[in-house]
Amino acid sequence: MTLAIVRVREDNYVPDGAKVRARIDETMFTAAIDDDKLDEIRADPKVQSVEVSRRLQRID
Amino acid sequence: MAETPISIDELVPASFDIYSDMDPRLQRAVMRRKEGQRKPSSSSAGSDEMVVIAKVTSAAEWNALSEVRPGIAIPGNGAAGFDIVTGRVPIARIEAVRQAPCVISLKPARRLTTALAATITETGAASLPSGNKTQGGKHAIVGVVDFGCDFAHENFRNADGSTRLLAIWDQNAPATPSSPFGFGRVFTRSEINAALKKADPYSALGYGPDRDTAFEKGSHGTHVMDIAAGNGRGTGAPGVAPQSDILFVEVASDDIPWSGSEVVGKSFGDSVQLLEAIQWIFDQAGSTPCAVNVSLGTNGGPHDGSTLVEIGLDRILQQKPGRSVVIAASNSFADGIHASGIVPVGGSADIGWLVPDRDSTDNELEIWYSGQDRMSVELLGPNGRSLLHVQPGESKGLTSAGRTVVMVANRQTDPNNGDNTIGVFLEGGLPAGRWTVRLHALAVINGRYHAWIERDDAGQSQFPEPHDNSHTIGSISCGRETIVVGSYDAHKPELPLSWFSSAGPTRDGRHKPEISAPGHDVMAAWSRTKNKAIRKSGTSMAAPAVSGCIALALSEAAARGKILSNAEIRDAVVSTARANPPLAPWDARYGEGRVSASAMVAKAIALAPAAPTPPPKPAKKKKKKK
Repeated sequence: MTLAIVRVREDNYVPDGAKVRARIDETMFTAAIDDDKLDEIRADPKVQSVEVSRRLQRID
Repeated sequence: MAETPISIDELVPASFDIYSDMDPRLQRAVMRRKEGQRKPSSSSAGSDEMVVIAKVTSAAEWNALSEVRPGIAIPGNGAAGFDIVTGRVPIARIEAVRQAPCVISLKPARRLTTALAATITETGAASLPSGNKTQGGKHAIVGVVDFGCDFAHENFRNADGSTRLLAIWDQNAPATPSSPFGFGRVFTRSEINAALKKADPYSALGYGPDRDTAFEKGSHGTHVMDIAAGNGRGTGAPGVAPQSDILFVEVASDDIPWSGSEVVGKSFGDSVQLLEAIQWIFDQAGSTPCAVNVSLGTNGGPHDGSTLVEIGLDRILQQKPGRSVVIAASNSFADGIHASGIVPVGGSADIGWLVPDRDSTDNELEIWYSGQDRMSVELLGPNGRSLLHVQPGESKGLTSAGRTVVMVANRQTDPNNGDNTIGVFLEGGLPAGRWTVRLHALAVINGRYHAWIERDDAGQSQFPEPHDNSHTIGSISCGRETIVVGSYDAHKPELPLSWFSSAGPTRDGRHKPEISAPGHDVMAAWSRTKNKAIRKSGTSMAAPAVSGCIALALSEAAARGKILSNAEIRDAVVSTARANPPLAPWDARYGEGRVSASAMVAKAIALAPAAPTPPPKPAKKKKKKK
């Protein structure tokens, strides 16, 4: 399972293999994505982009 | 560091790239830092600082050095021709300080008494306009996304001992049926209050800040929260918005791939869970105005606001008025982590990359260039040998013993901004020295590139000098709606920039940071002490000063029946910024200037309806607006 931010081209579209965690708006949400579905979702024409969660460090 | 015995037969001669005309103990401290070792912190100096005594030509010049946190000054009697001074200096800057023109000699010394912080005085939070209705931020919420909330510290409790926190979401905790977005656990105000009645409130609640270690004293989140919203009941020194309600998210990372020394004492979040943290805070706030403070970031990224986490933050802020997100600019100015240049038509450009000796950690470099251009990338080892040549759209690597130890990805047309990006990854243990990333023009119209090296506290690789220290703000700090904050030293009359405070602009040329605030040697709540304070420095200490100022302005406007939009908040921050310093209309590190709480509150008064009205309940108030 991979955490990602997903941006879609169609309002409220959720690709198969993506489980919505937090909805930001109609075309953006955070999701848990099955690892074997990640490439498929990236290639989905209704998906604009998928940004896999990036580790962030504490700024001291 | 070494956990296994070292055989004498293994020892080989070594030389050090350290300024040698310096006290050997200082040289050793510098050498140890370059190897990723950290010294224990003390009550007066952090783990990355040394307490020093110096002979200088002028105490004033010594005090003006950005790197120096002054201690005492013993003036010469004129005939002597020098002053004796003490201070605390970041180990990373000892060599630079030793070579400063005013320094005659520099020695490690014993700790000394230091001055208190001046955040409240310098920002004007202690001298708000007469007749203001901020009530210390009572009509606003301060949200904090950080690490280590000491809910038992008296600065976050009311007179009756109850908590000022509305809730804490611990993203690390095991999930419950009511967990936000399916993970972590929320501790409600009533649960916190119940825990506060116990002898050990942290055990009772099942959450608390880490205990002090040899390397870190006082949790970061508690310190940050106090600057923004502490009431001073314990320490005697209130923060900027001392009556605001507080929401805290103990942020976690779903992805901790590092191991060994690199994770020691470190705290990580990730971009998805940061976005979820901020969404949760604003959901909890409802229609009550809320300023959220963030102290997370990383070096790599497009630096044009096009990452989805930045776009997500922008969208959340545009959805409703009364919302603001403030982010620390980062502390990477002097780290040598940014380079830029032009690849000429038909030519190539070399980017040097210095991997330190005995660096056992991974190194990562990220390059961004225009989507109009096509470039291939060649990687050369420290011996000058070409190792890989990667065409646009390709990814290649090198293996050792069946394990990939080098990887280069030349990605075309990022879906979020249309630009191209190159990632170069070197596994730990590869030879030290000067690696070269060579960009070859295939079809170049623009030619401009920017490169960033990822942060690595256990052995930071760098670009060769001279460094291009522009564009060193954090990778999530380039959005259009967030507010980014640099740091200066409010203890010195010149108000100098903090030596570490990162610089803008964004890669697409927008002005960030927007503002600066005191972030140098700030005294604020010390976790697990109930009522003590501790000193910390960083842009993380500057950002909450601005978050607190925004909470005051939001509270003032709310008390007058107005919920400020994010655009109005941003304008209130930048249009009231104070100059001298900075001298320029916008400075790459100060931003538009130094934050002014009093002027921001005056601005909020001007924006609010002329006839003051009692503060309505936020939900009703919002319905009355367009």
